[in-house]
Formats: sequence, C-alpha cells, structure tokens
Amino acid sequence: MKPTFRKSMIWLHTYAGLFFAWLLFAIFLTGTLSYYNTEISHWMRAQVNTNQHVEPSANDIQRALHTLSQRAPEAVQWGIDFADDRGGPMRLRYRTEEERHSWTVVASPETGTFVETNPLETRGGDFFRTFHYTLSLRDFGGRYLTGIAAMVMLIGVFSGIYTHRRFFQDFFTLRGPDKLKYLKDLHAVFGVVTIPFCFVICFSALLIYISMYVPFSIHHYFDSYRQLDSQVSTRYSRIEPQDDSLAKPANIPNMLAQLNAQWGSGYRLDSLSIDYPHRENARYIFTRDKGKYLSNKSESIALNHAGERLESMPKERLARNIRRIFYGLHEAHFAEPVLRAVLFSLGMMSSVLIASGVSIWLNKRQGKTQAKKDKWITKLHVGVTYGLCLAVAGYMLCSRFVSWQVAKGGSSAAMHTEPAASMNTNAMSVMDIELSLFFGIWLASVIACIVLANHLGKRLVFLACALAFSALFMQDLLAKHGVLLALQRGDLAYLTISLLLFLSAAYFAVRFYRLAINKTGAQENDTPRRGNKPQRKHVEESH
Amino acid sequence: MLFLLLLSSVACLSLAMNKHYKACFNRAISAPKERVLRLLGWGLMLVSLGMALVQQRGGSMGFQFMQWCCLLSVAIVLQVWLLNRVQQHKTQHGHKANNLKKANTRKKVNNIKEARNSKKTLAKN
Amino acid sequence: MNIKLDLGLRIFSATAIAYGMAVVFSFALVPIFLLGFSSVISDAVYFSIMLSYVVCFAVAIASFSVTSVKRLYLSLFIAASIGLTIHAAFVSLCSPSHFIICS
Repeated sequence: MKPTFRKSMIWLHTYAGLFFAWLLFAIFLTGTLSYYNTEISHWMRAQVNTNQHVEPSANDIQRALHTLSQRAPEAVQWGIDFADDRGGPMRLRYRTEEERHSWTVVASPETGTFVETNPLETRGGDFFRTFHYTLSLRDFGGRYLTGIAAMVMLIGVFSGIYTHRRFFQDFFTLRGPDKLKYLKDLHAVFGVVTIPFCFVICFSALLIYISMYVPFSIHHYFDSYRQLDSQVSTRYSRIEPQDDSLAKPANIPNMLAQLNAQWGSGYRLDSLSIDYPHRENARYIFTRDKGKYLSNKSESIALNHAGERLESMPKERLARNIRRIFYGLHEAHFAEPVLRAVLFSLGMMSSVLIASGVSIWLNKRQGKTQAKKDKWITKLHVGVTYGLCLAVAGYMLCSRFVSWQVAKGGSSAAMHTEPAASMNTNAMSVMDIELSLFFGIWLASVIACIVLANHLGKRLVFLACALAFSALFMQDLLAKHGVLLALQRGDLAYLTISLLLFLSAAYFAVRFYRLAINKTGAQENDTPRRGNKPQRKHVEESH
Repeated sequence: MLFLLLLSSVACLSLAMNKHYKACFNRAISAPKERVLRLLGWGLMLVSLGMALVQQRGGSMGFQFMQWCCLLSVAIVLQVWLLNRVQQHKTQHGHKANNLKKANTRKKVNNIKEARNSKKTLAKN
Repeated sequence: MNIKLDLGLRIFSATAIAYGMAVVFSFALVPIFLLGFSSVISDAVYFSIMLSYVVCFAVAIASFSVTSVKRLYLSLFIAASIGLTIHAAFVSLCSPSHFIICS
C-alpha cells in the first residue's frame, strides 16, 4: 500500500486505532474496573450490608444445610455459595423441577442460623463487567461489536510494534517538557509494556465467545453449540435419586477432612452443591477457589453423605483446556490482591494508551491549519474519555445516595427481615436510575464539551471529576460504615476501593489545578504532567 | 523479592544504554562497563525468571510465568518513571552548569574555527 | 487504479474478505486436524475456529501490506479455493454417518 511494510503499518495503526479508539477506551476502562467488580459491589453495599468474610466451618455448613432443609426440603438441588475474600456475600440457592431461587444470607449471631438479608438493590460492580462485553446492547448484538473491537485492538497492537521506530533504543525514554514528545513516549512505553497483556486480553475475548463469532462450522458439524459443548466439556454424571430412601445426616467434619487431604490447607471453599439432598444417595460436590491455576474451571470433589469419595469428573482434552486457560487469564479469578492490583494498573495503562493515541494524532494536526473537524474531534475526545470517568463517579455516587436513603429509612434489623426491597416502590427501580445516571452523565459531559470552548470544557469536566471523586472519598472517610470501620475489620476489598477513589480524586484535582493555572491563551491544551508518575494505581488516567 | 530482582535487572539494562547512563552519571558509558551492565541485567532477569518458575508455593508454571511477566511490565514502567525524574532533576538543577559548559564549548569551537581560518589564510598566502 | 478505489478495495478485503477467509478456514482446518492430528471431531472444530481468528488477523494485516491489490485479491482467491477444496474433499469423511468413527 505504502512504499514499505512499515509505512503501511503506520497508516493501518493510525486509522484502525482512530476509528475504534473511543469504543476501545470505553471497553478497556470498564473492563479494568471489572477486575474489582466484587469489591465495588461490596463497597456499594457496605452501609446496608455488613458482611464479613469468614472461612466456613463445619458448623456453618451444617447450619446452612439446616436453613435450606427448612426452606426447600424436596428440592432437586441445594447450593451454598460461600463468601469470598473480595467482599462477595454468602448466598444460598435451591432448584426444584419448576423453579430456582437464590438469596443472600448473613450469619445472624442471635439465632445462630443464616438469615436472609436484603442487599442493596444495585447492579454493583457487575455493571462494568457486563458493559465491557455487551455495551449494554445485549439484545442488539453488543457482543459482536466488542468482538470486532478486540480484533481491531490486536491489529493495533501488532501494527504499533512496527510504528515504533526506535523500539529498543527508546525503550526507557520519556521526554519531558514538550507535550507531543511526552505523549508519544508515553504511548510508546505503555504500548510496549502492555503488549502481552493486550494480546492475552483481546485474544481471550475472541475465544470466550467462540460460539458466536465464527459459528458456521459448528452448525455444519453439529446441531448446535450445545451439542459440541457436551462433547468437549465434562461434568458430573447425572444421578438418579433413590426413591423411598431418606437422607442420612451429612458427616461434614469427615467431608472437610477429605477436602484437606486432597487439597492441602491453602484453599478456600467456593461453593457446595448437593444433588437430591433428601435421598440417601445425595451427592455433595465441593468446589474450591481457582487458587493459582489459570483454568476457569476450578477443582471439585464429589462426596457422599458419609464423606467418601465418589466418581470424579473426567479430565477435559487439550482443545477445551486451551480455551479454559485463556478464559481464566481473561477473568483473572486467580489474582490475589497484589496481582490484581498489577493487572488493574496494566489495564489502566492500556486505557491511557488508547486515549493518548488519539491525543497524539490531534496534537500533530494542531500544527497544520486546524480544520473544523479537528476541533470537533478534540472536544468529543475530552467529552468521551473524561466524561466516562465522570459517569463512573456518578454511578458510584448514586449508589451511595441510595444506600443513605435506605439506611435512613430503616434499621439494619428491618433490613434482615423484609423480603422485598423497599426501594422498589418507585416506578423506576434503582437499577434503572443507576443506568440512566451513568449514560446521562456521559452524554451530558460530551454535550458540555461540544458546546463550551475547548479549554472551558476540559476544565469543567476535570473539576466535576475531582469534586465527584473527592465527595465519594470524603463520604467514605466520614461515614459510619466507611474507611475507619474497614480498617478495623481489615476489610481489604473496601479499602481497595477507597484507595482508588482517593487516587482518582487526587489525579483529577492535580490535572484541574494544572489546567487552571495555565493562563497562556496560546496553549489550548493542558501542560504536560511533569514527573507526575503514571502511578500504578492511578484510576481513570487518560489524556 | 522477585520484584526487586526484576527491577534491578531492568535498571542495569537501561543504564547500559548510553543515553540513560549519561543522564544519570554525567559522562558517557565506557565499552567494558556497558558489557558488564548488560550481562548483569540479563543475568538478573534470567535468575528472576528461574526463581519464579521454580517456586512451588504457587500453582502451575504458566501461572508463575504470567505473574513474572506482569511484574516485569511494572518494573519497566517504574524504571522509565525513575529515569524521567532523574532527567528532570538534572535539567532543573544542572541548568546553570550546563549553560557554562555550553559557553565553554562554544568558545572552544570558535577558537578552533579561528585557528582553522587563520591556517587557511596562511596557506593561501 | 486511483487511490480511493485502491483504499476501498483494501478496506473491503481487511473486513469482509478477512472474515470470509476465517469462515472458510474454520471449515478447511477441520479435516487437517482430524487427519493430521487425529483429533476428535469436536476438538477439531474447536481448534479450527481458534485458528480461524489468526487467519482473519493475517488477512487484515496482509490487506494493507501487499503492494498491489491485484496480487492481494489473487492470492486470497487462491487461498480460499484451496480451503474450500480441502473442505469439499473431506466433507464425506466428516459426514454424520462417520461421526461415530470420528468422535
């Protein structure tokens, strides 16, 4: 196309990157936030739901089974999802022939059983997770769009390697004062450092929806993807309930001893499901956490009521395992706090990478006569990227407001006993309000940036972000169920989110300050960040 | 521990580059030193990789390798930032010294030019 | 040919034709895995779809790097024909009656 391969790659990098930049930025930012989806949900519900992670003992399991037997004695399957160390609550579930039910529980010290609690009706951090692969267009093919974006990102990363002229000489370079040079070096450094991360994320994204993107050969050789899946994936074989037999009491300590024998001591119990619990041949399937294994299928052990081993699941073959490993790498359930923070920072770097690419292109064109469309794109760029950050802050503020209302409305005891969410009396449920607020704020910032002059719009959005995140963090500091309580309890999940809020507030405050003191009219854009390290934990970092 | 090892290896490798060595130590790097730093850098990196893979505390080798890659990325970013800070520190504080240096070199260049010119005029005559 | 036509053809090749090639190879690679690696039919389909993504990527990159568009289209046409021939030649091998043997 162009005289050399490298020049073609530069062209491809520029234009493929530009067209998909905003979409990719939104996907990467919300995807990075979803590394902390459970923590965010926990943080949102903290005022209403004071869950505390405790390793389940035999007693706890016994009590949970008792609760289930009272609620659904004749169920086909019972399930207990234990609380995890990221703030995820404990849930009980059962399944009968006709229906399924699941509810969140909390240990009630007074009655000594697990009592249903009413968590705050909010989408929580899972909104970001589902947004980053459906774009909230689940029924309109959002997943196809994100799949295309993943492929384009792969192309962008590959062509970017060729675009970077002095790959090895400039490996560690980050030039200071000149804005364009700084942006270019930042883009280059982040690009190089996140090559493996972006490759794994994008390729695994394509593999996750292997049934959707190129489905034709599946439908040619099989009736449906489900048939293919039944041949590659293994599961526990169906058991038939022994009729006219009564359940024997479960020997939980024996079961736990079996688990310890098999898995050692460093595991965390994820869930327990019981098939045909009211019959003698009830099967107890214990599933552990992903631990330090990349596959997205965690190990499980099947036991009978006495604690003896039953037939285990056969191992899956290579093809399925390859997909499982990529799937596991994408979701990163194995990540303990430090690794999760590292992955989060890599994700943020990728988001900055994408946004800075557009900034470089815009900056380069500033030298030439600025066409109208460049002005528009600059304004839109600020609105879309920083507006998304503001929308995230607004979403979290909304949940704080709602939980404040709920806490005002009833005491915690009332929350434990009421079955239905009292907030649902509005015509619009809380979840709809959250969604509207998120997209409304995003749209409003885009419009504000378009309408206002370039520098004004930027200052406004930065100020709004700084204020929003500061408000969130201050509320956290001062609230009863806030940072201080979390510090007392060692609630790492809560503290992580508080720290991220603080860093975001600090970041936007500094950016706004630098913009505000830059009085020279000639420089429409902000001053380069001198020595403000693109910190590992800087949230919503973009140009 | 692993991270510190990685960071030092990355630091060595980066300092082996003339540009960054000059920025930190104010003089060009010498060839033997460059070789030593490079060997040290790659050596430390291999050691850290070996340590990561051999660790039986964690899960599979794949997991350890992935963790090592992530730490490597962070180490590179940290090193880039550190070098940037050093550079800025030097430019802010060494500005005066640099100006003097520049003036001196300019004088020297001018002297050499004059000497050459006078030689030429002498040759012409 | 003029620049706009050249660019248009390349973009079409990088998008639609790349996807088409991915589909073709998701069919064509199945016999290769069945015979070459003696996989089960389900694994063969799995592997071939995973590799078809690589094919899509390669065609997209090639669309913008091959010097002449004519050569590009010609080579893509040949590759697609080879793929379809492989699929057609071995489709009897993977017909439903052979499933019991294949899987």
